[in-house]
This record gives sequence, C-alpha cells and structure tokens, in this order.
Amino acid sequence: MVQICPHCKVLSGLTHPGGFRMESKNPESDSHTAWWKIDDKPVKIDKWDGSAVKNSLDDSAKKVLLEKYKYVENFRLIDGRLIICTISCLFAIVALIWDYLHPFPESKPVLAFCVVTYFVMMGILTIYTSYKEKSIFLVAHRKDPAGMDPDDVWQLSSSLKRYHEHRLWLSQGRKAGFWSNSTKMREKEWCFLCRSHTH
Amino acid sequence: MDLFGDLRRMNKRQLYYQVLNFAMIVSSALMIWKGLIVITGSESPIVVVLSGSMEPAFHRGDLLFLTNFHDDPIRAGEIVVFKVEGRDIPIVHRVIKIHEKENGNIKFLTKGDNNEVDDRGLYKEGQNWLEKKDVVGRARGFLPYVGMVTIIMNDYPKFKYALLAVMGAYVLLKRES
Repeated sequence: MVQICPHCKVLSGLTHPGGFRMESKNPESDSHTAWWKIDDKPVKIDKWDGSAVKNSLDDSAKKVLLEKYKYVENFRLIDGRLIICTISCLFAIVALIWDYLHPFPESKPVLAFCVVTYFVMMGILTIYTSYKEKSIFLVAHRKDPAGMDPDDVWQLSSSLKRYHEHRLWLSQGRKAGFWSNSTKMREKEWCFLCRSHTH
Repeated sequence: MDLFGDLRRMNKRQLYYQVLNFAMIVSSALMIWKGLIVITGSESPIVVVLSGSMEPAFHRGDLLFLTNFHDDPIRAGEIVVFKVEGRDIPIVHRVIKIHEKENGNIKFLTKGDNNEVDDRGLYKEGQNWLEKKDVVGRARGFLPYVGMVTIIMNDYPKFKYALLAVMGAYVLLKRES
C-alpha cells in the first residue's frame, strides 16, 4: 500500500514522523547543475496560492513514486501535448516569415491557411488536454524484476478545486491507456489550514 | 523572494513547456492579428487616431476598425485611412472629391474635417491625387479613448519595454498548472 503523505513533507522539511526520508535522485551526476537545482530543499510556497499548492503536492507524490519506489516515468502523454504545441508554433512562425518576405496582399492564401491551421491545432490541443490528459500528471511503470511479465502501469491524477480538499487518485492497469482492473483509491484527505490529517 | 524557485524544480520537459507556453501566447496574438488582416483585406485593420484633424468625429486616442474590400467603391464623404508614399504613418481623413474611370480606377482628394485646407500639402512632391493603392482601409467602427494606451507607449518607449518585460517574465517564470 503506497503511503503518500506529501502534506507533511511540504510543511516540515523532508522527514516524516514515521521515518520516511527523501534523497536526491542522482547526487554525483548532478554536480554541474547542483547550483541550480533545489530538489533537496523544502518547498516554500504561498499556502493561499491554489495552483502552487496543487503543483507542490503533485510534485511530492511524483517524487515518492519515482524515487522511493523506483518506478520509471512514461512521458508519452506529456510528449503528445508538447508536440501539438510545437507544431502550432511552427505554423505561426511560417506565417510570420512568409508575410515578411512577401508582404500582404500577395501572402493572403498562405496566411489564411496558416491561421486556420493554427486555430485547428488549438482545438486539437484543447480536446487532447480535456479528454486524453485530463488531470493526470504522472504515468509510471513498475518494471518486473524478472523481466518476464509486462510492466505494471500506474497513473497519478489530482484535482484541487477552490474551497475543496485536494484529491489524489492512484490507478493501476496492465498497459498504459488500457485500464482493465483500475482501482481508484481516493487518498486520505487532509486539511491544510489546521495542518492535520483526517485519516 | 526566489523568482526562479519554480523553474529550478522543473525537469527539461517542464522547462520546455514554460517556453512553449510563452511562445503560444505570442503566436496566438500574432495569428489573431494576421487573421484580421486576411478577413478585412486591410494591411492594418486597427489604427489609432493620432491627431485632432478629424474632430469632432474622431479625437486623438480613438481606435478605428478598418476594412479594405476590393469591390467596395470609394465615395465622396467616406472616411478613409491612407498612407502617403514614402511615409509610414497612416492618415485618417475624409474623401471630398473623386474622379472615376469606367474601369474602376479612381483618383481622389482628402481633407481633415478640422483642417482649413485639403491634404495636397501632405501628399508627395508633385502628387495632387491619391489612388486606390494608397488606401489602407475604410473606417467601419470605432472605440473612443482606448488608443491612448498605444499613444503613451509610443511616446514613452521605456514604459512599453518595461511592461513587455514584466509580462514576459511573469509568463516564463510562473509555473503553468
């Protein structure tokens, strides 16, 4: 049973009363970027900034799964979004350069095509983030140590609505995207304001 | 206050997404502008009135919406925005005289409502009439006062750069949820 307690970790440094300690991912190889990274330091955020709170909690949950339990992150979902955005920007750049080289009105057909394509890509992006990505922020594989069975795929998603508590869902399936026995376990809820868990 | 706190905690993909986010905001604005150019047929569909030569119709700081459809005939009495050859700044004045040929070619003369004389003094040396190619568009609608922001930013460019820098920094440094 995965014990996720990002709330305590965020507020009191990196130790949990139960003796749960986080270590830096790659202490040796990060030496050239060590001055930049602040992964080891406690997270300081404004507790009234909803999105910062959600991001910190999500990050902590990610850290637990990836570093403590050594799951391997699957970037396909995120890469999909990055690719759609990159293609949209490319169309915008093409339109800009074409218009600069052949001033309007000669550039009208190319401009019209690029503008329409750009907004179509925006529509695709919206559909992708609303229906495919939803509120998932981590897809991770647990490699089978023997290398025989297919990987277990775990997925983390969360939501933090105004005036509601933070909800974290951990789902499991055999193959990414195909949830045959998905069990959504709603994590323990907690109260930020009085800094206590309600188990 | 650690401005870079959020950034330092990000991995490469998240950093790339921050940059992409900024690029998408800029691209969206650019595409909306280009889209307006295509739809209206005018190279500058939104202009700001810079002088008081069209008072009391338009005042300095008003925003004008223009269209430039090829098939719309220009008639005397209409307000057009035109550019004199060799000058960058568009001028908003009223058409007072037109000579029209059967094939649709026109030569017209303009004058600001609040000016004493016609615009021949503003035209190029030796030019007495304007042609369709000089027209940027015809005024179709306007919003009062909104253009003052543009005038202020042109008069004080440092303010403009500071504002753009702050907005850019905000988008780049704040983490998208």
